Amino acid sequence: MNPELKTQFELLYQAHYRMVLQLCLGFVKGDSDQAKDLTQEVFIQVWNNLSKFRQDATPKTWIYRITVNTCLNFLKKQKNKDQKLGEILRDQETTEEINFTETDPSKMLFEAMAHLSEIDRLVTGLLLEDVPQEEIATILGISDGNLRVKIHRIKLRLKKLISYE
Amino acid sequence: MNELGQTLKSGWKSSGSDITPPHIPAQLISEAQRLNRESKKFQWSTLLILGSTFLMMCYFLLVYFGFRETLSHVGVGIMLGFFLLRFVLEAFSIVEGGKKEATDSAIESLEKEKKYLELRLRIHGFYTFLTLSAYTLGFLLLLPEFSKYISSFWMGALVCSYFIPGIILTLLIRKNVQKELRELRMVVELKEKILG
Repeated sequence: MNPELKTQFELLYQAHYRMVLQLCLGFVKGDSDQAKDLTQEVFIQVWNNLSKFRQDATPKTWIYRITVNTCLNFLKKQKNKDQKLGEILRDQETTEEINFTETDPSKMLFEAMAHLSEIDRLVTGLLLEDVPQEEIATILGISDGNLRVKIHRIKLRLKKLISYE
Repeated sequence: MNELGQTLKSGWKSSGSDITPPHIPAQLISEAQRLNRESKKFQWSTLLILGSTFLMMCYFLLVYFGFRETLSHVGVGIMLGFFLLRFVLEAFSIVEGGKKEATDSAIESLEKEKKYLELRLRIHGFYTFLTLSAYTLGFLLLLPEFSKYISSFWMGALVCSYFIPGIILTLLIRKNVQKELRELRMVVELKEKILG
């Protein structure tokens, strides 16, 4: 094992573990065990691709890409077991209003995110991580305009979902 | 909207405040290396099985049976030629499968996977059935020469021993094709969902 690579991996792991786990938590609607498994999968991919990592992207952006792809792969595996993806995605996009009276803000957040589609949950997570919009567009591989429309829809949706009464 | 933004932000901060990385990078690294080794082993074992089957077929069809008639030689040529084609396609598919990178953008990654699944579908669908049909034709061309040396009973047994596993294999391939078709549909839907 290359010791230099191992040191680099350990630094990346320490620096980005929180960010990856949080994105995964948002993606799996706050399910801690599933998020930890997914995070482990992300870092396995990080290790397997570390030797190919060129400095043309920041390590953070590079790990975001791996996280998004790992989450999408997880989604494919999960849905393959059950039913058609489209049916599930449509089922999740409910318009049922959430009453924001929960005292734990993180629980409230994941409850709200659970009502979004998986892709929108990933976008929301990246936005809450303060990732610039043009970077999110690059990570997803879509145009800036397309992402702006998506973000606008997510905001409207969350606004509809959440009530402060 | 600001109030909403603040609520979401504070929820995000609060959910991340008590996260500390567990000290397991060494275990993770060995797990990553194990998975990597297994994936390569699986790919190579497929080629190894196909390759050794091809060599065994070459031995039996070219050396052991020692066919003398032209029709049989044509049959042997068809069987070996199409099996070799299947081997080359499998190797090509492994190379194509390796092109997908975990660091691609989501759309790029899904696009590569879509192309890969389309290729797998062509290999498992059209090319496999073409190979099976050609292989069956080759086998039928061998029968006239076989019939000169073995009794009708053993001829019947020979034909059955070819067609019964052949039918089972066809059903298994069909199942595989359906699974890959489902995966392909899922990738396309996911791509549309990201773009939409």
